[in-house]
Amino acid sequence: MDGKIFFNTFLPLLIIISFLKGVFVYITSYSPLDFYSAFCLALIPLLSLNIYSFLSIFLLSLLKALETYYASLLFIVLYFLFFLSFQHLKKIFKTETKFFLFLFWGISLLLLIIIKTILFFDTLSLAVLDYNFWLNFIVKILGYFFLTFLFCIGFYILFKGMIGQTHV
Amino acid sequence: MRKKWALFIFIFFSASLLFLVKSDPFKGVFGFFLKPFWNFESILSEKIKNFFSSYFFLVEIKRENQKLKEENLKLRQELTYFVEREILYQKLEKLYKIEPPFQYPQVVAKIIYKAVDPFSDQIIINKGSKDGIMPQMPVLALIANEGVGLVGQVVETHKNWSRIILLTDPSFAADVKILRTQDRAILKGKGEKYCSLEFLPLYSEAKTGDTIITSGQDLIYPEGLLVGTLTNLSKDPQGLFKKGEVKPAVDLYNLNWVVILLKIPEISM
Repeated sequence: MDGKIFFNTFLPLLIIISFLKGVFVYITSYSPLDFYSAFCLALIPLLSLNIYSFLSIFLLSLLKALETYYASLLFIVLYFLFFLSFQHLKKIFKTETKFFLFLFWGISLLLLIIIKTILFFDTLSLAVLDYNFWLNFIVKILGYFFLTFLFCIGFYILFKGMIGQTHV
Repeated sequence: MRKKWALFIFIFFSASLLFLVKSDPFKGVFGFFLKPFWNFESILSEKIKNFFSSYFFLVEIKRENQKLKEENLKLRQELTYFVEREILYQKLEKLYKIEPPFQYPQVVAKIIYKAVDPFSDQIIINKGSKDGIMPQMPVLALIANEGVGLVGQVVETHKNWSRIILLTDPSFAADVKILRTQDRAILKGKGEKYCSLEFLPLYSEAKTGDTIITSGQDLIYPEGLLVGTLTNLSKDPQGLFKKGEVKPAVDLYNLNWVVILLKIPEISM
């Protein structure tokens, strides 16, 4: 990603999507998916190693961190881990295929969900976890995974259309 | 020489890491710049919400219903207050002593961002440490300029914004009691619409529909704050306590304004 794309495409898009997300959540008080992670994961396959890519990932991780009370460092490390691992995998695999992208998003989301689940159970202190709780939890997790995954695909198509090239 | 450098770098990175995790400077700075954006977003969201709720639903019925709901909640709050006073005076008659009433200063704040996801229920308000807000302070809902019930607790403060966890957040817990029977229990959030009520004594005569108020025993929330209504009461699997669910008195998902009680925490986190 060069400076022109960063300032003319990425930043306006991030502002618009953050704004729409904020308005949607404010009105409905409900967010079954992770917008920023979907945004980040969709963007990663289109990025190459440069300062603007780092800056984009950094901004996204900070926006995500502001949604939680966990340290920003957690999301900075996590998003950079996704980004750098994709850059490394590019050297080994053919990353332009749909199968690879889906696999990458799936594994990344799975890792994200594992971390979220650990943090959730770390804060939760219920003495009894009944059947209804587990049922709700599984439904939430599945909804979270599939909706975020769908948004990854949607954002990827949108970014690819806007940026107009595979790697920037 | 190389060992010395390695040790120096290791210490430097460890200290930086510790600083980043503990003080988290990014959040404060980034939040400061994002606050006007959040403000604009919340104003526009409110306008959109009001537009749709005013024109697409039955306008008058909705307004009347809202008014009645507010009146009902106010009356419930008053009733809670008077029942609590009655119980208190009955006790005091026996003890022949009267405790002085408590009063805390309040700060009214606007919700500027709702950071909700399937795992947590948090909100961000437009007041921060410069307004006297500190972590652990109780947060109440505002209806017709009167606090009617507990909404949550402040968990993170920055200069001009703060983060609040709602009753339903998994990290929320409060010492509560059943208003009618005066039995104490622990209220915990679980990331769902209703909260969980645990450790209610087995002998308790509480029943569904009973009002739950704060007990004041946790030294965080003042005694007598309306929390919600008891639902789904049952024995826990071990058979040592009763457990149930609590429907929050305040509609947590339609909040726009909150009141923070400037009650200095009596215990540290």
